[in-house]
Amino acid sequence: MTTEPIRPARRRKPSPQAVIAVSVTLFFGTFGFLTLQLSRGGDPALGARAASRPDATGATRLAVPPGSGLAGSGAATKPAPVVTASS
Amino acid sequence: MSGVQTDSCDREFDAMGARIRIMIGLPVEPGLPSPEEAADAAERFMRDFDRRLSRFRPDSELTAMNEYPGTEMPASVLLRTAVKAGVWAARRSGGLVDPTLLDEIEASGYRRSRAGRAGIPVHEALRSAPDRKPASADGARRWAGFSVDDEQGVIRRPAGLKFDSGGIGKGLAADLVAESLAGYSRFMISCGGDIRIGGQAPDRSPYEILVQHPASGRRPHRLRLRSGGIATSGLDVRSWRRGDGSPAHHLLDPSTGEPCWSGLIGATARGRTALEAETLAKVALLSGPDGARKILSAFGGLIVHEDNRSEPVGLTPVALHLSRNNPAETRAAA
Repeated sequence: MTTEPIRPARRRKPSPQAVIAVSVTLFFGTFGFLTLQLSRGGDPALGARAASRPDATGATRLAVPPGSGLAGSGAATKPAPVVTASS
Repeated sequence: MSGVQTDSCDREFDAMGARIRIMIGLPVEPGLPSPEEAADAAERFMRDFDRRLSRFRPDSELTAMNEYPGTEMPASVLLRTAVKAGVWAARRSGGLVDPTLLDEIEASGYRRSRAGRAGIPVHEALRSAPDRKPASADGARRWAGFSVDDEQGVIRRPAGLKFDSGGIGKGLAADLVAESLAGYSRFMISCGGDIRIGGQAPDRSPYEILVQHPASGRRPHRLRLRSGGIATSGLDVRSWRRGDGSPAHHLLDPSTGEPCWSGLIGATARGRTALEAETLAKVALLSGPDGARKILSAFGGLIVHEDNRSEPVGLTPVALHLSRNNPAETRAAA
């Protein structure tokens, strides 16, 4: 009895069109996601976690007076723009 | 949900020689004061900060420290925090934001507060300004002589070395107030345009920040931020003419102790905190166009050249909206 040597299954090479299609989809998917984040003001370079505390000074906590409850009415419908200028 | 889209409190007042604005959303954590009460506390803190750390007040803690003859003095938590912030900014900037130039700035003519006083027009100052040159650090690194011992509650420094909180005060104050507002859906603190933004609601809407041009007063650029700091430094404020008629301003070249004319008239920087943004904006302005591009590339910003041209650095077109055609948003500052 003879046996045939086991040959590794031949892998099918993906077609160039498929590679291009996947690459383009991945690129535009990632780019679109980042664009959406940036347009909503969430720059991943800054990161919400990194910005949540001043990292510089080991600063003191403010003593805020005790109080309770939610704020009253009068919330603005659209936040007014804020200006950064020389100070 | 309106709670994360809007602010329940929008407070404005004058302190620290600047216009302060505080916007606060809704409490997210239980037991927090109402936004109005939190704003009251923040306003009291800002006024106290000003009273205790102003170099223009003879009775401030800062003045007392600067006049103290010894090398080690007891200091409050606030003053120790300010000194630590000043040393941090000096280190972060490679010595360009130097908090030890008090004698130099006073010798240059800035002895009293210039709050509310108009500076000399930028281009008028530029006509008679010296040759343009980026600033460089003072090799003596005097700022490294300050040390803070929180356990002992003291500040140590070589006798006679003075501290000026002017370069970091507003950013630091914004960051300290931000700590007390961490439990609200969102918040914004602006100390004369040095801004800190944050909040706890993950889906909070961003704040729109307009960047004011230092020469025209117009606001042609707009950013939307949900967190972090942003600050602007420019030659359009705190400038004056000296006795000999030469123009001067408050941003000194540490290597000469003289006002710096770098080729830029303004710089806006983003940072993780307001203190970092304020530091980076000053460094960018002091470094001139080439240096500023490198410095601002980390978090993004904007520089304004002497020919009034604005140049975004490290900001994507999506993050930086050009709104030149909207007169309501580009109106001059009143």
